[in-house]
Amino acid sequence: MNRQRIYRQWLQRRRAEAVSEKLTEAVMARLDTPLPTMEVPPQPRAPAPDAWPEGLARLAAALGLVGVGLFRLAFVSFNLLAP
Amino acid sequence: MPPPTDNELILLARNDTPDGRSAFAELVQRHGPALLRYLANLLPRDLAEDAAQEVFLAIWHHRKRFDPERGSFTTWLFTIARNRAFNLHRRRDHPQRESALETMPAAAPDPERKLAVKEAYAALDRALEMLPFDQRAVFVLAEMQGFTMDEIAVVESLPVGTVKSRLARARRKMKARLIKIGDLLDE
Repeated sequence: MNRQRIYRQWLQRRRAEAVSEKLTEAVMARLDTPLPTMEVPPQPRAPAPDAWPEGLARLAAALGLVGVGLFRLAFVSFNLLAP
Repeated sequence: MPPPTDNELILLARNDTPDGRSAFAELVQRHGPALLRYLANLLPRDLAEDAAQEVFLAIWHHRKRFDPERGSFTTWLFTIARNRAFNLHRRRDHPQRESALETMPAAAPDPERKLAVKEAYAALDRALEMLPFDQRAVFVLAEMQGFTMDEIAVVESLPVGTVKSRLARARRKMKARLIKIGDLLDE
């Protein structure tokens, strides 16, 4: 018995969970009734992007600058010390 | 002429007129099945139907708050639904889901295999129910609703990285369960 197949079939069945065709009718019939007590969260904004890729990029840039600095120092030192 | 967008419909529904109501009915018609499926994967069936109605009522009562600049109608709808499902889940003593799946035709023809497959589905259902709510909500949105990571991040109010790690944890648990089921089926 193929596990993956079982899993895919199971997902398919969950995705096809039977839906009520009367939902629209039921909602429209209740529009004039007061809202049941429930928390209604505010409309969300798109989340801020993860900070780590930006931090990583900054670190890489800083390391790059350090690398270039060291290279230049070595180059200048070599030229100064060379006969 | 292309059908009106969700934003156009919800803006039209701001006015409590016959046109506004019919725009709102169109939104319910359009998003009802997906919303109900989402809730039915998080809650027992009887609660899911009520919750779906309440979520649409909440949208109706707060429709003037919708700001198209802030995000899509779908993510707003699912954010309210997620919140409602979480509160109902917390209040309830987590009974077993009613198995609407029992009535669906089984995939395998011979009775022994049919039984094994049915047991495997039931075990996966239980595994899904046993996931902590935060992992389950992310898993359902990704695997059953086809939401992108960015959309899930909006609905869950989380950074994308956290969504990914929650989803990975949920998938690992489901996979572990699947391996056990496979071992039993192979015996």
